[in-house]
Amino acid sequence: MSVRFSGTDVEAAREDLNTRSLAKIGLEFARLIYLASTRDYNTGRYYHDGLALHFSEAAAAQALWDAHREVFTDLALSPLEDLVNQLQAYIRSVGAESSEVIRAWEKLEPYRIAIPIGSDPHTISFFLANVKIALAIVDFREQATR
Amino acid sequence: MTGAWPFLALGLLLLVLVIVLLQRATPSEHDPAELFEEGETQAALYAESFPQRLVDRLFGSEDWEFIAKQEPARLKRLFLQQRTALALSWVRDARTNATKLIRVHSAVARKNSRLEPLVELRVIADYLVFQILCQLIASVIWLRGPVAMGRLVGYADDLSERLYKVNSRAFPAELAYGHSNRQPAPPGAGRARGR
Repeated sequence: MSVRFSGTDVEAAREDLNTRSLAKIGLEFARLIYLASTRDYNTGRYYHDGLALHFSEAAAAQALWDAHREVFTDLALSPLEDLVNQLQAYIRSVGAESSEVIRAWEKLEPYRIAIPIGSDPHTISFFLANVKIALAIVDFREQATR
Repeated sequence: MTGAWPFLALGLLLLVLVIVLLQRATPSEHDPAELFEEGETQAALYAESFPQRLVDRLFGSEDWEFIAKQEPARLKRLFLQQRTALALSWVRDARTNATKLIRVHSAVARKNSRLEPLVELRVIADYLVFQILCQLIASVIWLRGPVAMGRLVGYADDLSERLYKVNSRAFPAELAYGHSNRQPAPPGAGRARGR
């Protein structure tokens, strides 16, 4: 079943998403994880109760997907130094021991799930490579502060 | 007379190189015209290319300047290892796209009764220079990584864009694009301008 929605609905949903949800999340990396978490991992569909209530479910899903891709591309192509700082701040905000989080990220690579469907494959490779490098730098920094 | 030998050898070498490259640019198992008619070559033109922002970051100096300040040497090694793999992938893509473009060009040229020899020579020359330049870029990447190579990559991209434009002019639009409204990607992929 296809649901019709206009571009204006999606734009309004994007605006709402930006002001109500994303603006409250300070870190770009946290925004990426948040947007990825609104996606059903089995179907790839995006859900957001509040947005779907104000707009249509389809417009909400489209707005979430658009935002997800935008945040991902910005983060993936940001300077490595920014990514390192983002990642370090995010790891510290998780609430667990930094070293434990870093080990888990190195082994399980959970950040792969944060990649939106339909992203450019070269940008994905670049992001994955950068996160690997950033994790190594953050690990070194965290060890130095201990 | 003996002084002419090196020049003769060089000329022969260049001739062999041209023949080898032209053979590589022509599919060996199928007739290019058939491929073209089947739409395979047309589809090959729409190759995925590196986004401009990615090319700028990959071959720019900003990230390298940051990593150079990092203390342990293993971080620099990891950075170079990761970026080298990506940069070589860019070179591979650029060369593959150029070869696909030449294949289509050959297929169209064979059907064209009004060939312009000068245009054909220019296409071959541009293609050869582009391939040599890509080989040079790959060698530099192997030797020291894709550090601050924006200018060289930009030059390669200018060349690939020229190759693409010359080809576009030489192709009859209805043959090159069929019923598709999409435009093929230039072989240089990212249209790099970051220098």
